[in-house]
Amino acid sequence: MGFTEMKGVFRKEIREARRDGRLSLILFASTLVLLVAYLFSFSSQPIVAVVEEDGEFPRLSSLSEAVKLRYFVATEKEALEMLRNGKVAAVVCFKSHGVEIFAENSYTGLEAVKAIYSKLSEKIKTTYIPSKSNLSYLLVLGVIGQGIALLLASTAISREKEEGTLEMLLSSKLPVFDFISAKFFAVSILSIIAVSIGAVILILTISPVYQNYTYLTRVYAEILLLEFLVIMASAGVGLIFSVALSRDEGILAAMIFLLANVILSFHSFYPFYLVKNIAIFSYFLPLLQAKIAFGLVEIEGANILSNLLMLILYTLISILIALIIFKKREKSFVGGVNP
Amino acid sequence: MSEEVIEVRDLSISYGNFVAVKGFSFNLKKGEILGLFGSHSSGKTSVLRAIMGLVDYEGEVTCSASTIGYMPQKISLYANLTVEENLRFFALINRVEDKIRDERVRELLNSLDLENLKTSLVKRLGYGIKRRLMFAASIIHDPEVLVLDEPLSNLDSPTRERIWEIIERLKEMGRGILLATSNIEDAERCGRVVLIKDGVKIAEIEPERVKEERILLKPFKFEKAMAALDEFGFRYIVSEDGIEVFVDNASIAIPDLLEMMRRRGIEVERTDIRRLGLEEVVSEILG
Repeated sequence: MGFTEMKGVFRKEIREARRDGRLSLILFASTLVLLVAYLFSFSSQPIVAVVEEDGEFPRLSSLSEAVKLRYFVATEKEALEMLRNGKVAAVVCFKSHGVEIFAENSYTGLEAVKAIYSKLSEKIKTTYIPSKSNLSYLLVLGVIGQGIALLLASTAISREKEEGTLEMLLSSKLPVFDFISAKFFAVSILSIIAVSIGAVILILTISPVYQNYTYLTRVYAEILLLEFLVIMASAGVGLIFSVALSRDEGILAAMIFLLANVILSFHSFYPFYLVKNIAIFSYFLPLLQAKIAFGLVEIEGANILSNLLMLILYTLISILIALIIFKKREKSFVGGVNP
Repeated sequence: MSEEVIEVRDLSISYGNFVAVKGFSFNLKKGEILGLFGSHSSGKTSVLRAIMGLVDYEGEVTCSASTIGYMPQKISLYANLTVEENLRFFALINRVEDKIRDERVRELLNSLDLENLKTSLVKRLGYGIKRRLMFAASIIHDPEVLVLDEPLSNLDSPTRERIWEIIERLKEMGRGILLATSNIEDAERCGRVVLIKDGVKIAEIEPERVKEERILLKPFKFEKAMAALDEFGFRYIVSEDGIEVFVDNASIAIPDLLEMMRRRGIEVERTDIRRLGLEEVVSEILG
């Protein structure tokens, strides 16, 4: 393994990508898609859950007029679970000793609720409870990143094969490991840069303001780490497609893989709940791993180490598979009847 | 200077059911230019790819050189890199040391007249320039053996001449050069030429010595004349014009041949001398 050679291939990849008009267009378009997705995720209306504890509903009609009142549940625990899962943005609890509200500080309906319940201000619990309604949109980062990584990686080697440069590479002294590793790092870093631009714009401009910045930093750091690992795992899978298939077939396989990730990962649709047998396979999708970890990130003290390890393992195994396939097929890449 | 750097024995290459090369053997020595001559799809590229370890094969390929330069037939350059970046990249993957890399790149840019184009992106260059750059890339690491697949095809005369000058200089420096070509002019400049047809070695000739002379006999009795030639071990072919007898020196051989015919009682209507160039010899051999 030669670090110099690996670095050389990496630099070559970055240079080529920088000058590739189509790729620049894809990166630009995906950043736009990201920003649009973020804007949409912030346009949703907050929903309030009300707990019936002692059967007292003072001025409930006024409350439903002031805010978007959606659910009525029996226990505080259940309501807080809904808040944690991002189903609601705030919880109003009617208790014998008064009214309590659980909400994020960013909850915009707080003033309206205060106006109705004068004593509320004394009872407000300002404990920060992050909700999926604010975090789950970050999964879009993962989808875009995964899409870019898959697209780049799935053509990384087949492109060299079809353009004839692989023949020169294979006849040189460049070790296959260096070649594959450099491709992997180049694809991963390009995709991470593309996603990071969107993430930085998001965090600096339209992200909601939280009081607890330390907590927020941890949440964002963990989410970005997950996104980056999803990208790296996807780059590994893309390389397998690129080694095993032609350029067009590789792109098709990559898109199918991306679609499977998206369908099985978004909370609006859980097909694996219906078909139990495929549930186990779903956990081998990088985006779903991230999604599972997202559910833990928002809970303070929860550990996402196993998900991170799973994604790292996924990445290493996919690179290894790509290497094995490459070595096995090395002698057939440039063969065939000469035109 | 006769040390073998590449030895190929009984080489066979198949792609599925298609046999591209069968039982092919030859060797390449230090300081020689060996031509591999054949028409398109005759199996030349497959032979070269086997030497470079790019295809599966049966048989034996031995290479004693520590470095080999290879120039594929197809343009194999990075279109989005500049001329200089391509050269530097190929220098790097062929492990040209840092301290001599700059000098080597500069030297090749100059000798192949690419200096003015070094910052141009390859995708904006013409075919001839790309071939020159590919040739430069194949020798960037100063290899002991150079394997070239149709390096001069479709190039203009000045470019061909420039590349030939470098090839000949490399030969003088003791490098072994294997050059696959379908161009007879290129084959004529090689020390030895292996003829390949349908993946089979047909002959091995030395262009300098291959220029053949034949005596064209037109006897009154063809059968008797052929029997006499067979008896004396002459090699000949029968053509529309008569019997063409292969000899080393026609001027010297004619009187002896006529005397032999006269003794057998064979009258010869006419004799003539035919001198054949490499192209005619090769086209006759390859059919």
